[in-house]
Amino acid sequence: MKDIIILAIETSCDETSVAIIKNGREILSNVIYTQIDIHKKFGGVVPEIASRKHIEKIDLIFAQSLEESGLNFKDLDAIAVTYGPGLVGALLVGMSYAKALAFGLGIPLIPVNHIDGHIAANYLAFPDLEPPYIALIVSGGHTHIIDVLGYGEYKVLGRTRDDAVGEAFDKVARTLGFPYPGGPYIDKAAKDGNKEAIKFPRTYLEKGSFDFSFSGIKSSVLNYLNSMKMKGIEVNANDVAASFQEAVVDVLIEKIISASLKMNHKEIIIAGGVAANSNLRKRLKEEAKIHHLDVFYPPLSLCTDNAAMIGAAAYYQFKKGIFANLDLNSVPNLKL
Amino acid sequence: MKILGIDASTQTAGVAIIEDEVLKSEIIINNDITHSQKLMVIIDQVFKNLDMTLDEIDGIAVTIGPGSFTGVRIGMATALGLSRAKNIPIAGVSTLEALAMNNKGFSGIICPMQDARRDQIYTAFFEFENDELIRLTSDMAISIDEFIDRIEKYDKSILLAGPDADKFYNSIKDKSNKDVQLVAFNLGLPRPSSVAYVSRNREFGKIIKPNYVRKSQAETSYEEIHGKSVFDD
Ligand SMILES: [Zn+2]
Repeated sequence: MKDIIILAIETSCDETSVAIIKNGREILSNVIYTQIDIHKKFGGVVPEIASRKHIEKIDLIFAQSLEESGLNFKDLDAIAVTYGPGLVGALLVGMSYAKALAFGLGIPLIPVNHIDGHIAANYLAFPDLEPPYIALIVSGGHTHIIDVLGYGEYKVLGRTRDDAVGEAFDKVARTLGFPYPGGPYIDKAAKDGNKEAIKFPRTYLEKGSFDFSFSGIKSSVLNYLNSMKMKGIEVNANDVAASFQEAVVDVLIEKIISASLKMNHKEIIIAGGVAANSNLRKRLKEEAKIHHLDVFYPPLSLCTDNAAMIGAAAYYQFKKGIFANLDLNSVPNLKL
Repeated sequence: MKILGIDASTQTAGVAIIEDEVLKSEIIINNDITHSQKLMVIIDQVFKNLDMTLDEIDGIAVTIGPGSFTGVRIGMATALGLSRAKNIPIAGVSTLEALAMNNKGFSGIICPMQDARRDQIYTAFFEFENDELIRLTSDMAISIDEFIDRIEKYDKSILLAGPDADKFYNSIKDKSNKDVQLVAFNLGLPRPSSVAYVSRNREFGKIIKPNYVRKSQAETSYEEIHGKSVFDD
């Protein structure tokens, strides 16, 4: 069978990325330009600045990615692009560029849901992984438990009712005085802290629900810090980080394990930026083992936003013939 | 030489193909449908109108602002993608300059203007000399009062051009003793044919840079607080 080569573009947030993927599984190139150092200075992503950086870099990153792959235009079978969810101005840069490329090269345009990409990141890391399985998507914008029935076929079992888990990490990190993005700093501080130092609440919601709520734990961390401050007691940031992280991971693990057991899946995948959290990785693996489940998570480099994962997801759309017309628009709040 | 002109920098989206000094086809859309949805569709259409393909294009000209920040980027990203796919050289054109070009034949000072919000307009001054468009000022974001001050020094008729000229026409006419005139209704919109036409004397290459004129608000507030640019280390 002829190889299918897809060039993928991702600009949904603060990474400008272009990748070339063979048969949905093999990375031929994956160039990522991250703007994180600029947004760090603002304590979060500034949409207008993100968009300005994308238009400055997109053509350059494209050229670099094509060069690294060693391929030519004629080798490309399709152009894939993230059309949502994400920052609208940022998405529009990648999408406009992708549409023009596809038109110019006379090849199909594949519209990819960013979340679908995060799930597909696992296909790049695990050549034998195939649906069905249960997926836990954890990032700054999303917290979902998904029953993955087939490639690109999803049933959402649960989602957050308020903050995304990564959002809770970032907010707690900010109050602890850690730089943006706070997730990795919490992870690091927690390693030196006592996870039992402070008892933060675990919100499980109704019995049997796979939904999440992180606003409760977020406020109790803030309340705790305020009350210590009022009392003039110095807090140990490492202990707060460890106790907060432990509480969040407890809930994530309980929900994902019970969802796997209920849906009778043997495999769990984790995706999204928070999948990089070392405590979540370690403890989920241990807990899954007890229940004879296998856990997959992508390498750190594929957890954060990148175009390779978009190219992996796009491959399965290519096989099904799911293409976009030239009037494709970006959808900032696109659902899975 | 065949040039594809693209504009999405204001409320209209437009595409044209000119061949030397002949306009072959032009499409402008002025409604509420987003540029991201329409721009590529009308590019496709303009080629179909002429039974032409992108391969036949020798240069791509695109407006780089000032205007809507998002619109500017949609136009530029589209132009860059087309340029890259067929290795067609590209040139960026100031939206204000393209707007001035619409008024060839006017013998006074041409002042394209766009509402830049925050009590400012984007504008620049131009005039035609021996049929050539001459730029008198750089592109700027200024208040209406400053605009009125600036036109005082010209001893010629003043043409308010650009998509938002009618919005400011009455107040400028009232406050100024110059002969202030308003652009024709259809020449106030950016015309992709003018974008292509203006680019004829430009150097076409691989790189284009946006012409926002104004910094983003986040950048400005950062500078006020920290006394240096966010892009400095
Ligand atoms: Zn993401």
